[in-house]
Amino acid sequence: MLISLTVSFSCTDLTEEVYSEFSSDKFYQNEEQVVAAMAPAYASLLRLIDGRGILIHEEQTTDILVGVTREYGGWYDGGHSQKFHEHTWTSETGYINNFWVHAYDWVNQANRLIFQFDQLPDMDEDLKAAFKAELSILRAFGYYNLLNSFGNVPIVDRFDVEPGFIPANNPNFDAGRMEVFNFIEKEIQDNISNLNPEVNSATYGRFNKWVALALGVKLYMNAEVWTGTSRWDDAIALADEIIDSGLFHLEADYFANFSVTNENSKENIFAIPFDQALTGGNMSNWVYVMHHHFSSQPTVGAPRGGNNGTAAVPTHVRSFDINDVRLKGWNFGPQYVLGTNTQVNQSFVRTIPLNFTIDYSDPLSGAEEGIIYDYRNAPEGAGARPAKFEINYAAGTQAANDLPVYRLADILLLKAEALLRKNGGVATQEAVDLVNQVRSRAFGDPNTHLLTVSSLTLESLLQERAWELYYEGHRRNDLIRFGKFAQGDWEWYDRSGHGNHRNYFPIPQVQINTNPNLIQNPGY
Amino acid sequence: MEKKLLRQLIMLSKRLMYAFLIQLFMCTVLFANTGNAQRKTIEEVKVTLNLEGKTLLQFFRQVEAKTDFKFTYNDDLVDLGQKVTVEEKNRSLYQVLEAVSRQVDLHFVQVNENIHVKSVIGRAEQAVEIAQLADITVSGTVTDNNGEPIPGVTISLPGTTIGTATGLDGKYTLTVPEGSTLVFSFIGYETQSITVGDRSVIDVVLNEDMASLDEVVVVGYGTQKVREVTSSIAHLDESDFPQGAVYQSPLQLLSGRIAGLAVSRANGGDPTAGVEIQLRGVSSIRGSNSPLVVVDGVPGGSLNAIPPESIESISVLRDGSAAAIYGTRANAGVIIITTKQGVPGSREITYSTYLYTERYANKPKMVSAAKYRSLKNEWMNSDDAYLREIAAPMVDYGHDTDWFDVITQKGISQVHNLSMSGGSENTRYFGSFNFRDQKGLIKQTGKSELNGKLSLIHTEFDGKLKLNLNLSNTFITANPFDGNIMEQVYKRNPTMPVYNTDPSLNSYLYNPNGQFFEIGGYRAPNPMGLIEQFDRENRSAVFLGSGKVSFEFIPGLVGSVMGAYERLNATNNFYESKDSWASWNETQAGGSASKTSSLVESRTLESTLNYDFQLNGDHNFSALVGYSFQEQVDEGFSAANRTFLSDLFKTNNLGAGLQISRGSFVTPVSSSKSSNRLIAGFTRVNYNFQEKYLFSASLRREGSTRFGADNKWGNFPAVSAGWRISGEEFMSDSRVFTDLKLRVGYGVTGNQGIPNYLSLSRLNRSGFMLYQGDWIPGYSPSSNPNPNLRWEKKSETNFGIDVVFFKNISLTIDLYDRTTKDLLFEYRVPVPPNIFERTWANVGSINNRGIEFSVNATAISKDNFTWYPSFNISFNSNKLVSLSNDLYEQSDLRLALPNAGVFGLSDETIYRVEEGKPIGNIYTWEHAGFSDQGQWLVWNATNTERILPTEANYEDRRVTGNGVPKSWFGLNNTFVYKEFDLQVSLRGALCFELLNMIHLHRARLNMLPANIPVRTLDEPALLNSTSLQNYLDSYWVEKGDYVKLDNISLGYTIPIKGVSNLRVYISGQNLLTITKYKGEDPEHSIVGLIPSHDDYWNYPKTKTYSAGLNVKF
Repeated sequence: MLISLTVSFSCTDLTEEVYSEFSSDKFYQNEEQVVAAMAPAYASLLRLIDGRGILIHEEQTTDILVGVTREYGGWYDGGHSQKFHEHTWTSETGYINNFWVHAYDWVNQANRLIFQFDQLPDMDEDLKAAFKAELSILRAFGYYNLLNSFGNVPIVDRFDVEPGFIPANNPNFDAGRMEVFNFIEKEIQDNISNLNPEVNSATYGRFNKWVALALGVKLYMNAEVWTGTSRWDDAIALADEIIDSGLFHLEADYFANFSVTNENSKENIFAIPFDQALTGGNMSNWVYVMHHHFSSQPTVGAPRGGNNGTAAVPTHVRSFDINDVRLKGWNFGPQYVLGTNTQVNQSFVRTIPLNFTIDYSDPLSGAEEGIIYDYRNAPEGAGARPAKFEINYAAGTQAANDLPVYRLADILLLKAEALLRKNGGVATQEAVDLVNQVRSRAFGDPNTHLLTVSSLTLESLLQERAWELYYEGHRRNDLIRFGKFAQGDWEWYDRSGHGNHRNYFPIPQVQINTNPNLIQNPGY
Repeated sequence: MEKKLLRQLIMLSKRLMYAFLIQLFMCTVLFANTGNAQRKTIEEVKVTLNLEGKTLLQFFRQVEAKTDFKFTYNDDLVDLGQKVTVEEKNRSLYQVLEAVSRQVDLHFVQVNENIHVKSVIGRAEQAVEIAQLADITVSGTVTDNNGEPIPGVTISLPGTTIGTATGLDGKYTLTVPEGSTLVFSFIGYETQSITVGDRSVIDVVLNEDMASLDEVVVVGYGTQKVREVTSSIAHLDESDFPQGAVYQSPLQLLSGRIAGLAVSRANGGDPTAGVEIQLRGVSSIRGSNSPLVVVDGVPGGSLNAIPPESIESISVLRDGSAAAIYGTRANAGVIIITTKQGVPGSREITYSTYLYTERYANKPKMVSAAKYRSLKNEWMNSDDAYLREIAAPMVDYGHDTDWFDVITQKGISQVHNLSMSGGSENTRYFGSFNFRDQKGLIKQTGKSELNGKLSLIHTEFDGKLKLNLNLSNTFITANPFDGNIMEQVYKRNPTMPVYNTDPSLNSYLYNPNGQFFEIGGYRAPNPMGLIEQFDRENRSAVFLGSGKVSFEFIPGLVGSVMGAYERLNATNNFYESKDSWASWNETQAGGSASKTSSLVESRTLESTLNYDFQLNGDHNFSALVGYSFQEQVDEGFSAANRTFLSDLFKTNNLGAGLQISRGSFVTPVSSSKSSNRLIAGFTRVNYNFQEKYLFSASLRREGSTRFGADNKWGNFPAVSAGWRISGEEFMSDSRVFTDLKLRVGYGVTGNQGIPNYLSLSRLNRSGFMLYQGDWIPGYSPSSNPNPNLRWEKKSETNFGIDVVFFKNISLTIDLYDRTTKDLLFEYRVPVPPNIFERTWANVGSINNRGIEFSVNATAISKDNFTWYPSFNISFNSNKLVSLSNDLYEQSDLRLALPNAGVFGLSDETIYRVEEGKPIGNIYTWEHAGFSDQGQWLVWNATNTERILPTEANYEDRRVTGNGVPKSWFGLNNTFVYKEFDLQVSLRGALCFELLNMIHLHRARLNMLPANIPVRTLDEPALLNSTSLQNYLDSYWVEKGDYVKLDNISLGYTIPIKGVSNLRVYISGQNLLTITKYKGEDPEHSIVGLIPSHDDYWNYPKTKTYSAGLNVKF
């Protein structure tokens, strides 16, 4: 026993044994592991639509979509949805912080990987340079989203910071926003030569040269908003490089861009790939769950019912030409079981036939006295629902549609816009041709519904962008560039008195709480 | 004939046991009656004394020193402090006493060699007498309250050496002078004095002593006499346990019985859930808040391995100075459970059983079908457009269903326990077999448990070597509850049928092929479908085995080594039918099956060396050194599949599902493994001088794998001291205080209750990337690593007073002040530079202060009737002192409710923890009534304006309640009248508020297409409100204070010869709750930062009716 006492006293080993994870020092042993290390940086891009993501920030804040509170109290959601639509959000409103965290996640992942690749002495130098360039553009994409949402954000471009380091943004909002702009521009310029110029299935979903150029077009188009200096020629130059490459073509079928197999679209410059089995993520929410009704499963052929959350702003749906094929991307009217004449019931509150009404009126009795129906108190069936993304019944709870981020139609319209703006808002034939290229597809006839030099104005171009690019996360950015966002006056009321600071979001309060170096954006 | 034999065997085994005990403890201190030869009288004995102004006591001592006489007197009647002067040379004692009697008005009677001292009653009496009394022989039997003979009872004549002890059958014979007063005493029983008179047969019944100071309590790594304890330790043994059904956890035995220990049945009547316990308030934010449970010396032993019937005693180490010996995991206190063991010489067989059935304690009142119908008809024709609007969507499906009744069963649960114990002087055994079959109130829920337990103790080499073996094996099959059921029960339209059997309703049906009447909608499954279309079966086996070898090297020096192995093996099976509502409405799963296995192994090795010794008879030392090693390994495996051809296989053929082969299942298989270790060395010294001045100091140095490389080790010191004032001379004649002790202690404990590996930089599987056309699995950081992660430490100061008044009222008061520093928490950190928004770190501190009272008494003890009341109450106030340090800065935490989204409150925070404020603050708007239009209004920040909630912001909110009870109390009464016993236990919690989430969610008329609480119809404000949202304001915050009739039991002991005890009883639990709270039951979760709120996910609270039988041979 004395022996066992002595033996036991000698054991003081507290080294951890990790079984189901890698400890960092045992990773990066071969190229496969290096790629596996890079994967999460891409996987984190899925979060562009997590926590409502661009749905609530870029679409529900605009004249296209609204987060609807249903009359039974559904989707009141702490009032956050209403605040986004009414432009009354504060630094504490839900979801804003999610967007910050997700965008900085891309930045952080890139910083971490660039640092770690630098530590690998045995890694092939060309591969290392290519990976680092790719990650730099991924990081620039993160900063572009931060610039678009928050403006003056701290720039952190390294992983090996001192312990206790906390970053700061510029005390001057405008100067800070310009710094972020310049950082993104420089990153694109510095890395473009190391990026893969090929477009094929091997580069799909990756930050290749063309994604960097598209990102540059987006950046320069908004240069006037973000820096006070317009860069229309730079935007046109990059757009031309993309258009002239001949690598991208408009799909004949508008909806091919949103199908379950939209990875085949030749129009994609950059899409975030989703897989129904592997990636997880919220694509099914984006495709149908968020907006379709609980009873919509048999009417849209979905694997499950929806949550009856978001719906269209009535004016947007009403603005379409009835012959515009893109109108089919909105689902409204009585809801029938697919291929039949059987109308399904809405049955959460009222057991009556389900009908998605474009206007938010009461389907039973008309508006009763004293009861106003709008997005704050909407009947179950109120509102047209986004339906441009194809629903795959077999996908289970996930969806395999890829999320288009940059596609050729967008670039064509942006180039046309740059031409107009250079020309004092007056159309040129070149601009008209670009817009008509997109428009003629929508009407299935190259000869009708075309615009002319006189009918193409900045106003009609903005309208065209709404018809072409609705529900793809571009609208808030467009409205700001056209000076119509903070001045927004659309259904159901006038937001124009809320101030120009509504053109950017406040820095989330929780970030300010944890980082005393952050200065809140002006106006908040 | 056989019966007779059996009885004799039993008596024999009992005798053997008591023989051992008597030998050990009694015989050596007893002296035989020395007889009365050569007895001298006080007239014959001459003394010389020279005392001037000395006390009477000093006079007695001198006489006793110089003669063979002893003075006997009653302390209560004779003032020993009064002064006497005696200056006599070689005078007879008789004359000396005469002289003294004149000074102090006393009367002396010599009886043999004793001199009885009495107060003078009448002047006429002779001051000094010599009573040459004849000796008489007295005999009798000493029994306990149950009529069982007690062997080994000491019978003595105070002031003399005359005495004896009862024999094995409780009988005694003693020769004493006539008129003597005999004192009967036995450890654990109240001492009784009986005047012999001229009786020759005296049978005595001894009552158990409620406040026995010789009682021994279990402390960390050893035992201690109650009178020597210097820290705050509460102790319960079997006789203190509730005498009714115990249906959830052994910890229920403590419910309402220990001051400072809050026990809550947060999970209602769920037979698969335990109870929540919390000692002295919230002491950690994210570290473990549950006390460390030590089972038969094994720290962290599983409560599942211990049936309540096999528990002998429970000690609760409340303060830091007591708990520090368990350093690491002792922040929330330590609960030490000791199970029963064999007693030498006694062979005892006990069988106990009880049956019970459960009902709703307070069935929620929702609108009935008839009421629903009449409301619809009335409102349809109303002049009020609002009511017409409400009525329009209401659907009368023509049936009448009480959903609360539909989902319940009236099952009979049963518990059986058979145990036997006994042994010889060298080998003792205890074995038990326990079976519990529990049927929950909700259909399909229940738990069945089978436990076998064996304990062996063997000694060799004259008791120097002691081997101890404990084995316990438990097999559990549990059918848990799904919280979604209750949500639907509250919600569902009462006119709907349960089953799909009414063809007239076909137009409403969403799934015409299903067995259940199902409609579409948001979260609208039929609750019976949720019960019957799901199979949930969790099977587990818990093995706890320990072996201990102790050796006494020299008297008092004992070394021991204990090894223990615990293994928890669990398999959870889950199957959701193809026909379930979610299957066809949401997931299209076509049947969904999963099987999850886990294996938790824990190995313990502890060695100790203990040395007890005395110096000069007055200095008592006890010294301990020890080493402890504990390793826990967790392994998990799970597999799942979906889309089956039929429901037939359930979880028995996972490969038959189609979803894996179709490639549309994200992660069908997973497994994991992790481990952690704790290694410690510890030492303790106890010292006391004459059991008056008590001192104890301990130190544990412990290391945990969970912390950063440079921070793995922590020191946990403790010191405590006590002063037994009642042991002092000046207190020796106190009539009030039987015992009085002051204690003070200070101790440091730790907390390591966080996940493994947080200090390490790890990469875990995460996401996929499309690389060269293939999906590549990604590896990404698991957390923000924090290499500086270290111990959370609590330091606590405790003041205590233990008092025993009038021999039968004991009072304990404890005051404590505990501060936890370096709180373990996932702190918000800025992103960037951090990868994740939260990092586990040590920041901030929490303070808890409180006072605890407990009183135990024998209020009435008459021949046939006794009443033992006990009462305890505790008050706690806590405060978040800080949440910041140099690296992390945060002034508050805002906490949302889990599942808040269902209540339309997603992202809405409800609790707020602020620096300098107490934990548990409910932070909402203040309700400001309704506008003339019926709109909901709240107050603005300055209380100057009533505004719409849509216009209110966070700054307008305030503290509108606090969910942490400030006070807990328990009142337990035991009455014994002849063969009847009655136990009544009340307990309660005071000063807290509860958020009535169910009311918040349902109490609006526009919820009525489904159902609303009846109460809503009596609230004019809500009835007329046109507000369609559930705004989070103070309207929904209600007072939570409650008093519960926790347990009431009535027992009858049937006197049958040959059976040493046979008791039958009926009892009821949770029969009555007195509260202002308007929800179902105010007893809710008490643990952590998000305390009490009443929501859908809870199992209904139940009351229990039970009947039982205990029999002992």
